[in-house]
Amino acid sequence: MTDSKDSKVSVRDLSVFYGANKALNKISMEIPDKKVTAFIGPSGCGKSTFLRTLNRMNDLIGNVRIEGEVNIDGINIYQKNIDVVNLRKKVGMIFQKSNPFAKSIYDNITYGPKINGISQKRKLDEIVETSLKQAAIWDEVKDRLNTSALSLSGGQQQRICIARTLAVNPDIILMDEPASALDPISTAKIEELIHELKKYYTIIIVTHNMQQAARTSDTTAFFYLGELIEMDKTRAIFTNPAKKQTEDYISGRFG
Amino acid sequence: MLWRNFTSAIVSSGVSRENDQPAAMKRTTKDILLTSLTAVSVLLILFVIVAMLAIIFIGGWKNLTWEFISEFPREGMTKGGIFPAIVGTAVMTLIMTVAAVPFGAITAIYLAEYASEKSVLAKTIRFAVKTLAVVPSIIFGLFGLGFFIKFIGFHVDNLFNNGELHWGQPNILWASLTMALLTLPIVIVSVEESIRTVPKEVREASLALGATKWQTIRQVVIPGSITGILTGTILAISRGAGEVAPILFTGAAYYLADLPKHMNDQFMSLGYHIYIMATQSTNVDDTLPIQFTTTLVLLLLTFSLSMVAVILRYRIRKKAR
Amino acid sequence: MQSFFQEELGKLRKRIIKMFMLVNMQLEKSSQSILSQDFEDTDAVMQNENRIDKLDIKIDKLCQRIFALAQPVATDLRFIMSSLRIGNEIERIGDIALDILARAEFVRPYQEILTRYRVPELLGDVIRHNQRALEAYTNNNNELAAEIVCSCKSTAETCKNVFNEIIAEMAQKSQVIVIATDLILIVRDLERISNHLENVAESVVFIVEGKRIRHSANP
Repeated sequence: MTDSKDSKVSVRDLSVFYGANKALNKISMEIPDKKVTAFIGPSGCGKSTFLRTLNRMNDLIGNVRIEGEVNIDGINIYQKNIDVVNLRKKVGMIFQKSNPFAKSIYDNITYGPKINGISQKRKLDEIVETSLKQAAIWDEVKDRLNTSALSLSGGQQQRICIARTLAVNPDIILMDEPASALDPISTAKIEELIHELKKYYTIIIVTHNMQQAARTSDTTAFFYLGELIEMDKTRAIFTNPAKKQTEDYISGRFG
Repeated sequence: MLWRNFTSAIVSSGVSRENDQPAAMKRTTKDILLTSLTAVSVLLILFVIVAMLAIIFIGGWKNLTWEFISEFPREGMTKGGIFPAIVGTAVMTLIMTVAAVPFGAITAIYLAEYASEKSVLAKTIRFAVKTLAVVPSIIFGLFGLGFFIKFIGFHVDNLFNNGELHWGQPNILWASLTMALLTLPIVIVSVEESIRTVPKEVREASLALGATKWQTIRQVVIPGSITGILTGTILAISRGAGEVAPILFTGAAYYLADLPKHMNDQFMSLGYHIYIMATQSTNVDDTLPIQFTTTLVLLLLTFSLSMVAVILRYRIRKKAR
Repeated sequence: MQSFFQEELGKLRKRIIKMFMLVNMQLEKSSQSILSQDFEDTDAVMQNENRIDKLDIKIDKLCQRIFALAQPVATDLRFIMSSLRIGNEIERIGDIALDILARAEFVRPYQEILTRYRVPELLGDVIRHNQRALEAYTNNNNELAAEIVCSCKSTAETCKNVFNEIIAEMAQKSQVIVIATDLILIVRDLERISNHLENVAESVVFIVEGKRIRHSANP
């Protein structure tokens, strides 16, 4: 486990309710800065819900109640005077299904910077190039920036989505099963990319694929039935988990 | 044990296959019957459509000349063209569009994006829209007469024109607004439907980039559903362009020597023109070819509007790929 | 395997090579301790032994980590499996080298007997096999590895013969029994080293070709 002084996100006793249903029960954890943290667990264990509390995406669903604290850089994002729009600029998100806008590749990338008020062409060009390069897709698309992003393959679309998120220069990138709809080659590319990006960003990834968590993350947290069962260095979780439930889950002996 | 299971499986499968055979045969007979039934009904409908179009086309083709389109009716409408009816229909459609589309689109955006599932207001609006959509068009006509002319028009004249009759009579504005009421539910439903086709993930992507809700709607949701919005709107308009009942009491005129110049002038319309020529004409033999051609023009007009919708949809889809 | 795990594989290879070199040093020291009169380097030998043990644990952990986190397949899988085995084998060789070293002072005065029973020759052979095994592992050279398997077999055979010769002499001359016992044990150690090196070479063949040639009559 990491000390709270190295942590980027610090969660204290977080509970989430959907109506009368308790989806998460008193979760506390420290998420280390500039590292990859993976959340694993069976479907419905609350890992995605937890991810979405970190940039307040759950606010969009009615009927959600949240208790506890989520501190990012020491500031509780569920405080009253928090600007959710600013929070989401700082905490970007990549979704399970690649979801580029029905616009050109260029316009997809500049969407975020433009709503943040950047309008100089030269500045935007620069952002497009650096973001696409960071997302390791520049070489594939540099000659067709004005074609629709929807004309790309699934794996390319997902990397465009990553580039789009990088363009607003976030600190933290949340990834909700970013490769679950992709073929193995595209998945490998995304995992490679995650490995590169952790030099500059704090990455939190939710995945159904334990091997993916094993390959990509530095820290792994195992969720089960809305509880955080165990969180530790990934190598410890996968070689010598402390809890029996974790062991049963990662060795496929569940239920 | 295993062996017994295996043999019993073979035996039972053999038995069931024998039992299945008549059932399977029955099923294929049923299939053939149903297939032929659907084929017959499709052919029947095709026949009706082709026959209708053919009759109108053959009857109206000869008279479709530039003079017919660009001239006023002459000699008790047995000669000349239908120019004022075309202009009237066009102007009415334009005003109707300007009135119906913004209101409809805003309502649809509210319903699709802002109203929560449980909102009483949204439920009421949805109920009202559904009800409006099934109201017979003649009722809209009567409502237009009662509300726009007798109520609003009358009071406007009383207040601003000392009771002189300007707005308290049928005119193109009231007719267009009545028509707008008729098309409003169609616009609302089609725009809401197309807004809802924009996937949730795309909205979330925009919000996750730090966009506000309105930025998301304006820059992602509306552009993403613009095809649906446009086609829905155009179809609503073409429906309005052909309607007669709502303008019967609210502004359409039998014959006018001039084009409408003000909002409170009456106007001629294609649909109404066909109606009066078919029912009020004293000389049926002379007006019959004109009726055919007018019908043809109205059909071409609504068809071309639909075509515009189709082409637009195709163009935008191609651009999006 | 993804490129960020290639690094881990590189680390594994580097550690095995390091271990090879340490073991080689141990073999050379034990050879010296038998053959030269003034051997005083015991501290360095103990230090090396410590380093080998630590490396052994490190290699174990590294392999466990790669297995758990990267799900290696094909060549990578064979490489890791074999590296784990090779690590074990040469760690044993290191231990045996220490055993030889411990007996050195008892046989050192009888150089001409040692020479008669080809011990210097056998020591040289074993050291050379070890160096060539390292070369085969480093360069994934399966042909060299197959050669090593053969020469290790013949060295082991020679050891057996020498062993029998010593037994025969012991039966005739009772005064040689004390030195002969140590000699026998040293020869037995050299035979075991040859066997371990044979396993190492077989593992290299397994990395390159995917064939298990151990326990088979003709490699």
